[in-house]
Order: sequence, then structure tokens, then C-alpha cells
Amino acid sequence: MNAGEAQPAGGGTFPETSWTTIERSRSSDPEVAFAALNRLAERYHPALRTFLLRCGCPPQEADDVLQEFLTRRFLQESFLGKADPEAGLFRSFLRTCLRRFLISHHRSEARRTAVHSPGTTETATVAFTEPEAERLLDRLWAEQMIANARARLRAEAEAAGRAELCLALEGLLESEPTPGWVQEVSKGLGMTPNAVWVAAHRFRERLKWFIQDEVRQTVREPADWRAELEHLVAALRA
Amino acid sequence: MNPDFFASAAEVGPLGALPLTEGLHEDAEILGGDYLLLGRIGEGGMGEVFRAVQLSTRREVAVKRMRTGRSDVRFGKEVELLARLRHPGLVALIQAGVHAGRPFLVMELVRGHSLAQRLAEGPLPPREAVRIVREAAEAIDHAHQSGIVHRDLKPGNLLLDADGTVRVTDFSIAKDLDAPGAMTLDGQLLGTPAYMAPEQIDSRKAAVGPAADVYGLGATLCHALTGKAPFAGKSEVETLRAAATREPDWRTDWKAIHPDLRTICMRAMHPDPARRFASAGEFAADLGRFLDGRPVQARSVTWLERCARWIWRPWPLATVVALVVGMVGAGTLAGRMQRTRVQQLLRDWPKAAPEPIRVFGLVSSATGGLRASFNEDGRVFAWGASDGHVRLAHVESARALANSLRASEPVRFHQFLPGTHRTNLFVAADDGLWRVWTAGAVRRVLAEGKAEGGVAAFDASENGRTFVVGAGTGEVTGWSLHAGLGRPIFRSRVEGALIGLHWSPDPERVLGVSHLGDFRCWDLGSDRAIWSRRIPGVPHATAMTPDRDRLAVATADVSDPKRWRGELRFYHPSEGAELGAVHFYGSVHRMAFSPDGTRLLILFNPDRVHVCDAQGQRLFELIGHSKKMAGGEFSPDGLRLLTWDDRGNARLWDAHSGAPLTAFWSGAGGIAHATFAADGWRIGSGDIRPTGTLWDAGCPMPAGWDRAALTAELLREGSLESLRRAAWLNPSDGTVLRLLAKETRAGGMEPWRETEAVFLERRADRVGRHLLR
Repeated sequence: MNAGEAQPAGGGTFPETSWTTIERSRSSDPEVAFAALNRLAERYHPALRTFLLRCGCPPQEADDVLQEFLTRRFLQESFLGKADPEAGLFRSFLRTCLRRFLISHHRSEARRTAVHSPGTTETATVAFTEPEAERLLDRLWAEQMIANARARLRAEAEAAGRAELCLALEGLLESEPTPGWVQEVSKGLGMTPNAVWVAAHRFRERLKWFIQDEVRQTVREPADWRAELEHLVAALRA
Repeated sequence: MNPDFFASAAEVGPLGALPLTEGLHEDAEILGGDYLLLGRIGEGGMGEVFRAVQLSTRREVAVKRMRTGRSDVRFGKEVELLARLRHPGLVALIQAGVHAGRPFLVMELVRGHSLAQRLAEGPLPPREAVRIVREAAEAIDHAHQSGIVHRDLKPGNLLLDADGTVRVTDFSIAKDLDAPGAMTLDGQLLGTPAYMAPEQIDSRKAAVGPAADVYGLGATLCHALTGKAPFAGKSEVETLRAAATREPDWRTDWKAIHPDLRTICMRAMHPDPARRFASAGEFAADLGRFLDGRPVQARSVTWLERCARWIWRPWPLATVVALVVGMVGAGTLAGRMQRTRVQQLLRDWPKAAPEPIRVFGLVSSATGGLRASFNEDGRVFAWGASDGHVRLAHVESARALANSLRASEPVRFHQFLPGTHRTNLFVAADDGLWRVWTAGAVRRVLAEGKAEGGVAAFDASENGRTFVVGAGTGEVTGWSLHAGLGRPIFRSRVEGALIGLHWSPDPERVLGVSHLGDFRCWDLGSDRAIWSRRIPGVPHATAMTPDRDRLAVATADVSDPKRWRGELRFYHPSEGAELGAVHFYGSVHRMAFSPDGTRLLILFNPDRVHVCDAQGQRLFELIGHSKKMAGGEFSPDGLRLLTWDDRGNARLWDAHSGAPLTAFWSGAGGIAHATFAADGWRIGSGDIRPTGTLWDAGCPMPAGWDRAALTAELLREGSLESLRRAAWLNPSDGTVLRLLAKETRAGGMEPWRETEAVFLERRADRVGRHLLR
């Protein structure tokens, strides 16, 4: 059985992918379109912000630039119309747009500074080349998805009344629990070692499932998620 | 963030899809590696019942876990009986197993409540009560026709689905009519006093048979109509006393009940079993007549019958109590007196564990062994290593032989060629380069070649003089070894990557299967295929019976988006004709036939292991591995199964019952690959750390018995016919190897299960011939 290919069931459902959301954002119903844009903005905001910081923007400026990008470009009706599912990942599309936006922002800032402070002609440049920026955003994106998956795991554990258990297990989910560790946690939480082992196994599998789900949401064709995951793993290893 | 963990998200087990809101309680457990207990839904004398989820299929099931110390024999009995029952009115058995020493049964989950829970609110409307009991009677009639008496019919054991359909459950004290006696002698009170027939309380009155269930159904109907059990008392003994000494009060409790129903109940609960309805089916039919408004066939009780009932009932309390207490001692004593030495042995055999497996010898090497093999006479052991060396050891002395064979890359595969050239070894490395060495005193290369994409499949003729190599690219080459020199004799290809190459029954022909379903037969004399077929789906694994009369191909169904569904197809190797196909769920990783070709070991991804019959019908599941399976094979005598997972844990199983015999783990970092020597007494393993280990695999013979003594005892004990059934003899010397039977009432033997019977039928001639010598 290849569980990775299986349709999800139970508490986790596969919400619409980014591309589906983009299509919704083109809806003639302004409420549907705005809600979809909001979802997109929320989903990509953290990675884009970190990307700007890594590009050398001070935090205040990064927030301003991102806000401007989201309001002036992202919400622009024609902007998402240019996003072509066949042309590749939505993330790459956003990165290119944001870089261009950042360059044009720096240029206009430079012009403005030159008007107010004659003699200053230096134009701010973006710190990275295009391939470097791509790798950086991929890595940030992978981290973002892991963070999202962890947040979903925490929320579900809280709903199940297992917030404390989640806290105890969370840091150690990336490796097989050792007997000593299981013993220690079981004592601390007043659970049997067997129950702790089962819980650790459940949390780990669930986290993996959420990661997979996060990746699936970003691809247009369901079959593409594996390639995207491998790409992101490579970005993490780089 | 650990990138490896992130990468591992590509493969999520079924647990991942299960929300955390389910099954995270203090006593959470996963039984048999597949059943996650979600919560307890019931408890009884025999054990607890849990709602559970089967992780491999994600369906909800009910798991009944027996209490510690419960008789294994009774558990085995319950499994055996349930396996015989298939009726929509009976809760079906899905699987049975043992976890942490406690047996468990996996049953269909009935969503609803029991009749007892419903009756706690008061009596049912008569027509509803009659409908429920009638449905139960029809299901029980099916059990009777299968030779099984339930013996504990009561409202608590009738489950009502959400749509009101009745399902009878709990066959834990059921009786096999074909083998009475054994299960009633352990002195337990079998049944629930308020619903027990008089003959269940005192076996001197009559044998317990289907009539006892008719009584239980009558008592249940009585309860459903009146709202209280027929002989409700303060304690079990008081209730028992009432049931044994009195009849229900047919006047006071029944004033408001239809007279026909009272008549039916009186007949169903007649003290004399012979006067009750002749069968549960007849009881159901009479209830049907009542529902249809037709005259019922049960007659009113006559004066003579009243006298007869009086004769059946007058038991003083002391007698009843003495009977109940006496059952304990008398039953045990009677059982003991009956047992002879052989009977005791036969009774205990399934529980007798073989000698624990132990390390026979360790042979060190520079790096870890990736694969192990023995030559045909079992004297030479080879293990290939990740440093590209294949090292050899003399088995008896467990000493490494000088001069390893060196491949170019880590060794992917090696195998001794059969036949007279017992030390010719085929070795394939990761880069696709392969060589055939003569690994005797003089080491030299007899043939070499390169398989693009790596060696994907290999097989050799029975005399070891010809072999075929399949490449990952689909290319197949045939080689001949003559006069100490190998030469290519054949070259062809299949569409897609080869997944299996097998010699056909014709020694000049070879079969190949690709992952694209290209199935071909070639004559080694020409490069062209004699015939080709298209196998539907995506083939994953192949296996050929040792006598080459059947090729099994496991395929995945590409139309199933979940890729959970697959098929096991069987082909005739000569013409490629399809012999049959069965569906299964899961992705097959590897398959192997037993030496006699009657059984098929199937390793599913990740950790399920099934043993099927030759038609692919599942016989049982091996429960114990929790990691991804790496490989498995039958022992050469077909009695045991060896499996190992990718974490280096190996296990040995009884090949006929699926019972775990022992687990072993090489101290050298775990086992990468293991195999039996031809005599079945040695296991060789290539270990993850730099050793090859030779294990003493022991013998599945109870302690204190040698083969000759056991044969003599059995010959003295029974007729040739019973012996045929009682034991499987080693065809080579006629010694007894394995019990395959149980006692019958007449003192003879009969097979454990139907599947065993089929197995024995095939064996009978050979075994008989040896006995007659």
C-alpha cells in the first residue's frame, strides 16, 4: 500500500490548492474573489516577508514593501490574471513579481531621495541573483509549510485535549523515540509507556500527513506533489 | 528542520490520516501492527471489546481482546468456529491474532445497540420482539447447519444495527458438534443462567445440541415480550436453581401476551429438548407464521406434557449446587484419564515452541553484508557486502574461507548456481556489472557482463549450466557455461523494466515479466519470443512455484487512484494462459511460494505479511513486524517461515498456523538479508555491520521427543488412516515432522482446518507410501 497516494480521510481534508484559490480570486462575485485573495495573501505572507528581510530590507521597510505589494499589485484585478498554471509554480511567479516590485520600489525611493537630497544618486539593488533568490524562497517556503503543518498539529492536539502531550512530544517528532525517552515522558504525563509510544507515532505520522497536505495545496495537478516535495527537500538540504 | 524527516512525508502511513481526536487515550495500543484501539465498548468474562480502526484499510472494526490466562485452546476453537460462519445475521470474523501474549479477535463493527440495552427501557411491542428473535433464529439455524451451537443466546448477544437488523455475536463458548466433549470439560459455567437450557445445567439429562439454542431464543423472546428474563433471581446460583427446578410462570407474566406467542415460547423452552422445535429454522418459521397472521404450528401444552415437564424439573437445591461444583473436578479428571502420551503430545504440540534460535557462528568482514546465500548442499555460506566483496565461509566449522570475491561496487545480489557446479556463484554489483565465479579452491571468473540499469532479475536452469540476466532497461541475456567458460547464447528485451525472470517447465524456455505488463516466453535457441501476453495493471512482483507449474504476478490497479487495489494473477508458464485472479488491497513488495507450491507468502508495503493458498486466498496474516518488510521465504521443509524487516529484525513463524516461533536480531546492527540452508537447520544472515551470521534454526519438534520415538508412538496409537491425517511425514525418511490434525470423538484425528484438509489430500499419497514401507 502506498499511503502517500491515498486520498485523505478523517479530520484532515485537502483544502483547495493555491491555483484553485487563484481561480476563485478571478470570480465575478467580488466577495468570493476578495476572500480568495485574502487566503492567498495569508498563506504566502510569512514566506514573502522573510524573503524580503533576507534580501536586505530592514523589518520596517519589508513590512511596508509587502503591504504595498499586496495592496497595490496582489489585489490588482489584472495581476493574478497573469499567473499561468502551465507556466510553473505560483511561488515562482510571486517571487519574480515581488523582486521586480522591490527593484522598482528601490528605484522610486532613490529618485525621491535624490529630489530631497541632491547628490545622492546610488540606486538600491536587490541583494541576490535570480537563482539565489529562487533557492532562498524555496527554502523559506519549505520552512513555512513545516510551520503550518506544526500549527495544524498543535491545533488538532488541543481540540483533542492533548495540548500538553503535544508540547512534550513536539520537539522529538523527527526521530524514533528511544525507550528511555518514552519512559521519561510517560512518567511526566502519567501515561503508560505504550500509550506514549503510540502517541509519538501518531503525532509523527500526523505531522507528516499535514506536511504532505501543505505541499499538495500548492500544486495544480495532484500528481505533481511528489516532485514538489522533492524539490523542497533539496532546497532544505542546500 | 531535519530534511530527512521532511522527505519522509512522501510516505505517510494510514495512521497519518486519522485525526488525533481518535485513539489517543491512556491505554492506546496498536494490536498486531494494524488495529488501533479507539475505546472500550464492552466487557465480559472472556475479555474486553474495543472499537478500533484497521490502519491498513481505515475501516472501523470491533476488537475483542481476551483476558490473560484464557485458554489458548478455547481461543483457537472460537476462531475456528467463527471462520466457518458466513451469514448476514452473524457478526463476521475478520482476523485473529495474538498481541503481547493476549489473543484478540477482529470482528465486524455493528453500529447500534444490543437487545439487552433496548429492553432496559421496557418490553418491546410483540411484533417487533418476534421480528428480532425470528431474524436471530434464522442466523442461528445457519450456525447449526454448519455444526455449531452458540450456547449463550440472550438479549445481550443480539445486536441491533442502526436500521434494526439483528446480528448475533459472541461465539466464545460455542460448541463444535463435530468434536464435542473437549471444550466442556474445563469446569466453567458455560452460558448465562437465566437463558440456559436445563441440559446445559445438567449434562446427564441430554447432550447439549441445537435444542439448547432454541431454548435460549425462546427465553430471549420471553424477555423481549414481558420485559424480564424468565428466571430472574438475585444471584447466579438462585437463577440457576430456578431455571433447573421451575418453568416460567406462564400465567402471571403472560396475561397481556398473545396466546400463540405464549404457546411458541412454551414449546421453545420445553424442559425436554426432544419436545422443542426440531430446529431454529422451524422456530423461525413458526414466528413467521405469527407475523403473517397464519396459524402457528406450536401446540398448547397438554396434561400429559405437564406431567412430563414435572418429571424433568424436580431438582433439590443441593443436587443442583453439587452438580455445578462437580463439573469442575469431574470434567478435569475425565479429561486427564482420557489422555495418553501421544494424545497429550498432540494436544500440546501447537504450543510447543522450538528450541530458541541461537547463533551458530559469526564470520567477520570489513563492511556490512547486504545479502546471504548458501550453496545447494548447504556447506558454503556467502554474504555480499557493501564494500563490493562477497565473502565465503565453511558452514560446519563457521570459518571464513580465504580470498573473497571482489565485485566493482556494493553487491546487490548473489546466488549460487544449482546443479553439479555447487560453488559457481553469480554476483551482481550496484553498477550492473555481474560475474559468475567458481568459488571452489580455485577462484576464477567464468562469465561476466554488464546489465544497464542494474541487474533486475536472474534465474538459472536446474542443472546450473544456463542462466539468464535481466536488466533494468528490459534487456535479457542468456548465458551458457560449458567447459569452464561462459558464452552468451541469447539476447532479447521486454518493454519496460524487468521485474521477474523465470525458467519455464521446458528447460529451453524462459519467461520474463516487465513492469509495463509485457509478459514473454523465449526459446533460448533464438532471440525471438515464442509468445507474448499483456498483463493488465502494473506488475510489481512475481513468483514461480518450485515445480514450475504456476506463475504468480502481483499487479497494481492503475485505474484505482488510491493505488490500494491490486490483483494477484496466476498464469500457466507453458502457454501463458491465465489460470485465475484474485483481488486484494495493498501494494505487494515481494512474493515466495512454499517448496510444495501450495502456499504463497506475500509481503505487502509496508509491513503486512499474508500467507495464501495456491489460489491466492488468504489463509492468515503474520502479525508482529511493525517496520517495512524487506524479505521473507519458506524453510526448505515448508514448515517455517522466515521474514525480516528493513530495520534488521528477523522472525520465524509456523508456516501452517502463522504462530510466531521466535524473533531474532543480529547483534551486528541487525539483519540485512537472511536465508535458510537447504537442510532447514541453518539460517545465514548478512548483517548490517560487518558480519555474516550463521544461526542454528532448531527443529519444530517438542522437547523430549525424537523423530523415531514419535513415529513409533503414533504407529502404535492409531490406524494408518488416522496417522495419515495426524502427521506430515518427511518424504525422504518417513519420520514425523508435524502435527496437522486434532482428535475426533472416535479417538481418531482430523485436520485443523479445511485448508489443512486440502493440503493433506495432496500429501496423503506420498505420506502413505512412506508409512507402508
